[in-house]
Amino acid sequence: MTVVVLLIVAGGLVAGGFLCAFAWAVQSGQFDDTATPPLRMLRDDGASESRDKGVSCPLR
Amino acid sequence: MFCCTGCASVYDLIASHGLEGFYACDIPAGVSQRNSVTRDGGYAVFDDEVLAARLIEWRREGRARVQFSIPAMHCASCVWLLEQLWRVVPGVERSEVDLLRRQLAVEFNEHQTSLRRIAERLSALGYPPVIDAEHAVGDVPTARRTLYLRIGLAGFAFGNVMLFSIPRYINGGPLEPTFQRLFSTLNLVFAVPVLLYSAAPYFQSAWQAVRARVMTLDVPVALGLTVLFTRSVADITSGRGEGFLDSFSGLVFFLLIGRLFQQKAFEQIAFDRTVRSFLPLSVRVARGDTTVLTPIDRVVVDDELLIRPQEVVPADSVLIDAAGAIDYAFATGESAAVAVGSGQAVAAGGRVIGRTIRLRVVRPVSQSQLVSLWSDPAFTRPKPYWLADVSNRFGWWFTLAALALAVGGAAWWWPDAGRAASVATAVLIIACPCALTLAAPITLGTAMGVLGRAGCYLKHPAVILDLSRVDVVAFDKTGTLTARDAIDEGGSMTPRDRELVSRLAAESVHPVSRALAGRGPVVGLIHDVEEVAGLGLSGEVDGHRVALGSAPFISAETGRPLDADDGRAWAAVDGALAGCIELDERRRPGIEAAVHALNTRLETLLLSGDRSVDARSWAPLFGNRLRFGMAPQDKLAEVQQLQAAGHRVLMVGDGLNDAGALRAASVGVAVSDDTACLVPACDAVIRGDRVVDLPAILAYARRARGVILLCFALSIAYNVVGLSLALTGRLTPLVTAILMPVSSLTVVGLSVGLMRRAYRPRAAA
Amino acid sequence: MPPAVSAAPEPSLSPDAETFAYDNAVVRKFIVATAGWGIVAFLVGLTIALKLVFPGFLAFIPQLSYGRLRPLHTNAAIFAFAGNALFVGVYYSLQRLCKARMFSDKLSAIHFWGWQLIIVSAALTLPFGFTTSKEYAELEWPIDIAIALVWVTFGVNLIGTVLTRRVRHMYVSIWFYLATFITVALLHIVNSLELPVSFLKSYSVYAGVQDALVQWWYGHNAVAFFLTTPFLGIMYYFIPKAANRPVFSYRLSIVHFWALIFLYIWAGPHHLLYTALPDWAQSLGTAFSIMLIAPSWGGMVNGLLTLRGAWDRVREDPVLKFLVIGVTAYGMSTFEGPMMSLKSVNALTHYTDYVIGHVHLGALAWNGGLAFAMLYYILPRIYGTRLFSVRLANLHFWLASLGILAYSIPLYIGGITQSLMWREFGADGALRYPNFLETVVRIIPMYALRVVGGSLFMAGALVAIYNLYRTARSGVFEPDTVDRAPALAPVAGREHGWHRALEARPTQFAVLTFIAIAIGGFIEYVPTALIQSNVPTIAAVKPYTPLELEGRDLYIREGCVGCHSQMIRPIRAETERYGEYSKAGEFVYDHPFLWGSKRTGPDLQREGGKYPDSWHFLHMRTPASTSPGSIMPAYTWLYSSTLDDSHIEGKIITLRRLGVPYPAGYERQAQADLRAQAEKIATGLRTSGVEAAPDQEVIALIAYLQRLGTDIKNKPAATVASVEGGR
Repeated sequence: MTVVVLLIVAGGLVAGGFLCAFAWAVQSGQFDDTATPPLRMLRDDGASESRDKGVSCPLR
Repeated sequence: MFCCTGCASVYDLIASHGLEGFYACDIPAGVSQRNSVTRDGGYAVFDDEVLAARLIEWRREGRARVQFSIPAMHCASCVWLLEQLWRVVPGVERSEVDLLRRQLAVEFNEHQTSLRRIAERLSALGYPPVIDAEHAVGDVPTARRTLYLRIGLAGFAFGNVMLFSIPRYINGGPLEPTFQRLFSTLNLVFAVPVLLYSAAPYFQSAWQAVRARVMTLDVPVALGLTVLFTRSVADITSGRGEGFLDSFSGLVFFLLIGRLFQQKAFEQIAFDRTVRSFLPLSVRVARGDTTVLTPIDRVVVDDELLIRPQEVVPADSVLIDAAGAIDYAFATGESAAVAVGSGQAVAAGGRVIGRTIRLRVVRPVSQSQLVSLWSDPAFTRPKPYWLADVSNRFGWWFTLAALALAVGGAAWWWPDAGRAASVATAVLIIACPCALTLAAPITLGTAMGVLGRAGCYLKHPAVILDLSRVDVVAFDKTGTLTARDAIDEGGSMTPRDRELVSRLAAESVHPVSRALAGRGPVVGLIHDVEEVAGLGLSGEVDGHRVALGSAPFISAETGRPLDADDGRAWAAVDGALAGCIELDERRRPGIEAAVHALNTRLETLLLSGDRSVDARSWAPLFGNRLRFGMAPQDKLAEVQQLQAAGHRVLMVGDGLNDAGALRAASVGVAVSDDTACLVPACDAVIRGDRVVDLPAILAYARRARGVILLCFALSIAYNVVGLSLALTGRLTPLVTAILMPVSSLTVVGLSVGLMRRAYRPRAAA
Repeated sequence: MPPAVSAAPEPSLSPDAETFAYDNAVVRKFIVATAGWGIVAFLVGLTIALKLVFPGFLAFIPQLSYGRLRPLHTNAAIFAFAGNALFVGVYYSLQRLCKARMFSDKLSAIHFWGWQLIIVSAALTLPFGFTTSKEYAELEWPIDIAIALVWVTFGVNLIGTVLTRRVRHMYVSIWFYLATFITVALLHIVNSLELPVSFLKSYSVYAGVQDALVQWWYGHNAVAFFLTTPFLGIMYYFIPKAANRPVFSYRLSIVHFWALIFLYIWAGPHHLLYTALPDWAQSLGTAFSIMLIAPSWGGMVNGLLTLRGAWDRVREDPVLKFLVIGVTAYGMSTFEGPMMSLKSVNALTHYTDYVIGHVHLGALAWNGGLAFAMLYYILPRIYGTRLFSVRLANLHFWLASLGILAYSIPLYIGGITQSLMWREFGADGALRYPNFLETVVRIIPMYALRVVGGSLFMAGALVAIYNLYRTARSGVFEPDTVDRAPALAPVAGREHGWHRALEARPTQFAVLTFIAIAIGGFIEYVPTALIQSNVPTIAAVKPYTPLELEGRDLYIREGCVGCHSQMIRPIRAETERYGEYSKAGEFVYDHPFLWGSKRTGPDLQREGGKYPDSWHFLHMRTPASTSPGSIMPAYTWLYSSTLDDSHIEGKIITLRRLGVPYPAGYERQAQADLRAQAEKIATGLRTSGVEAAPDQEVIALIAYLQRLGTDIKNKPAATVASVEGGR
């Protein structure tokens, strides 16, 4: 069952990579503000898509 | 149609800038945006270097990034619009919203625009930036980031260590040697960073505690963690076992989550008003024909100060100008402004109203009456939180007990040295008061958040426990039990008109105006203000001509006659009658019920600064426990006296003229009708309309204490089980791995579950 | 330039603001591909479903036999339909979330055409029997390499776009996309390590148990990171957009992402419960699968609660309808999955059609639902029009929903029924249904119902495609959606930047040490591990003879593994029915392993010697002749075509490289041995009165079948058990 080692190493590498990503994300303030992003993405469409947009204040 | 004034007032301006993305309907373009230029509105403050220094995050080769705090933002459209700022404001390169902190970061080109320009444009858009004495750019939540990292690392390690530990448990015995070795080593690899990084705070605080000869619960925690880790390392390296590393990383993980609760609660209410926040940090001192910003502690006698509207006079001085108006609310508690003439004395702590005035300092800051009130021992000595000393005493007790047990266990098994060691370590491991350390922060943190959302802002979670123990509640009258409110007769005024009018009112000293204008630091584009004594005042606010005054004054303004002048005040916006304002001081609705409710459980007391005119009307509520005409010092004395008599006093006041009492009382709650107002040191601030919830708040606080005690009981029960196993030398890693998370999780579950929905304020009438 | 922007007065335009355009053309390409391949996948699925009811259906064409079409169906469904769908979602949402065009149009094109090419090549190889037989990884090595390359292209394009984004914050969907790319890349490479024999033939470098473990580590994570994480990202984008409401809890979405990422990797082994895999590894899989419920449901709850207060809209908007059914199904199957990984439940459901029902609930409802929701959402927008007909969309919704129910429920029932019959004992302590065929015949009605469900779903899909086609016709395609945004200046000039970095050190340090050690371990263990672990541990187990080897490759070519398992679990019902349970040591020469995952036919692990050669000879020509009512197709072409043994030499060499102890130089006499053994079997058949020629393919297959599981038949289990414990 030594192949388990292979899987552990492979999985470990990915996990380690993700941990790095996590560290970067936190350090660069990606998770500082959890209130704005979900709202920001609601209005990310290009200007020329604006035809069929309506006024909306989702938190209303 | 609009969720907020922001959305409403930007409507026209957007159209002119082709941001139709904001709206479905087509808007006739070309509506010119106003207020692009002002001579000297409130926004001049943004030219102030000191302020700029506070707002600017970075600045290089002509570009700068600043942080505005903008309370008005709160919906998707706000976010979208504010981040489109570069389309609207020349020179702005990009802008980012932080809705959580209601902040807007703007990167702009300093050659093309200025801080003040942007501020003006923002408020023209309906998002006036406010200047908060506390706010400084430095406060990027570094602390929280670090905590996230610590938790993330611990969680990651926990997951993986579990992965490599579970097989061992499932297998019932050690795995094939090669695997066992590999897995244990990997566990170590994961656990080391947890020890070095994630668990660091506990070791630090424990070390500080030891150095300061105090014993907090962090000490046994740190002890437990150390033992847990070293024992595991020993087991693994000696091949005696697979160690407790899963428990270790799990423990750290849960402890840190407790910490997160604490921190979140703190961030929900960025609230720490101190004396310094009340005084201006620096003042303009005229040197020759230039004025220099000077820190207040460097202000000396005979300095010539320029104090602008809404600024506080830092030192006792005399007026140089012909006339000025000062609001002594702080000293007297009565929010009536006093007009002073040339050469008259102006006491420190007064707030300048209307026009900028020039003063000559007669007494250095430190000696002035204001500071003498603050430098009362009650202010300088921070009163210890009950929680603090309890957990200190408990920490001692707990640590000693644990050590004693460990030694005892070791002694019992003595001849067998190995067994003795393992038992001793096992005891210390299981005795680690993780659940205890979790209980208080999570319960109190949750409670603090809940109360915060309900309009009662605590300075520190521990305040809740002090609240739960008060037996006397002392009230101030004006602004606490009563509200002086300028009500809009017939409700004809639109919110927007009202806002314009109140911003104009801030320039005036008339009682009606004072009531109309909140206490907060008002900034706005107000100019051409002229006051016709005894009639009213008029001016241009955000480009609207606003007038406020007696009936004749307004009818002259509107050109339409009003019915007989009955002393009420009227307002007009852009030459049209906006509405009628009447001033009245009345009891806050539901206050009687609230005080009665309090009377059933504990003793109430009324300490008022003004004459005993309406004493009789209060008697039914407070019986003979009424004190009138009390100066701030008297209130302070009264409270200290009660405390000396062994009472635990809750002082409720509007925060200015009873600052001393507030600070001296075991809990001081300042009442404020707008939370932006500057309140000297106190433990909590409660929204005026929420005063009636005091009984509910106290009940909630008592519940919090109950929950914590329950958690303590539970975790002690767990410890007893664990200890019995440990002492008999039967504490296996598996048992620990189960016992510890279970206890921690139950505590977390209980504290959150029992506190979340438990706050039930009586619906205010 | 859109009017909106040109209307803006000049002075107010920031010099830094950049004009760019979202690439809708590539999105449309992927949409077309999704729809087209979707129909293909459904069609193939329908065909093989029909074959289970009418074995004679299209039976005369080898390329359309069940065994060869099944992998085509799974691959088409997963990589062609779901794959293209997820690219639609990524390419549409990523550009808008990053406020940037895709990193490179060239890469986009390479990615699109490359991916379609791979699918075509799959469609061209699988029906002709070029397969590695590892589920969802059947494609042969040249295509595997192509997949790796195209996938990396996608990754570069994805990461490039993220790096050139104009929004500082990365919305949670982007995290899910990134995770998808990285993990799938790794899984694919690790699982596809194989040694080529010829252009379209290779052997997995892992053998037996090892191969099984790697395969299901991959198989599970393929589901996790190809069919789950990207679609979660899509969910987090399209639900808020369609409902015009912010996601219920953004914090939860982030926590749920990291939890999922840190847990999912390890859940693979639960596909191998009761197999020859060591117990602790199996249970580990179970443990982590159970833990996965939390993060999975975190996602579902978050998705559904986003719609709170918008349920009235759900009633009208087909997009929301499909999103809702998708998320609900996700919740159901992510609960069902962990339950099925409980040993007791697994004993019941594994190898049965219950699993098929389970995966189709996920594939049709979760992936299908989200895919169609996307198409309904995106197409009208990039064509600047409205959906052609909401009523047709609703019709589609009902057809699909009914289809899914009519598909899964019968299979659930059928699966359980059959499983219960397998394990039922009579009063005399003997199996109640010793004849496997009885249990098959019993559930054929369920197979029939499943066909109905499938056709309903497909009908719905056709309606959808017509509806979308008309929608496109009614509008004008907008290849580029123009937008403007200021560039993202690097967050510079932070005075305290450096001490932040310092704070970050311990973590970085920890991670680096971890990775260093991991790599160390890799270099130290793996190469030795892979070879050394292929060394035999049961003396009696010998490598296959050349003829058996060819027979085995035929078994692989015909996809027998699609219906026949070769793994007898240590459960009385199975040992009674099939014989001695399987030992890890028996598979050390199996490159690849052929344990299988479904028993439409009986297990063949101990087939060797059960029946005479003649029985097999007749059975495979006309199954009904030996087993009345059998739904196994007839393999007439095994008789007409002659065995091509030209590659035997290479095969021997390759396998020796992988640690199979063929004596040095054996490859030179391999062919001779092969022919000799074939001749022997042929004569044996003739003597028993069957007309057989030694060069018929079927001879080799018989040789293999007769060898199966015979090695240890007369061995005392004790020695075996001891060996097994060590592995």
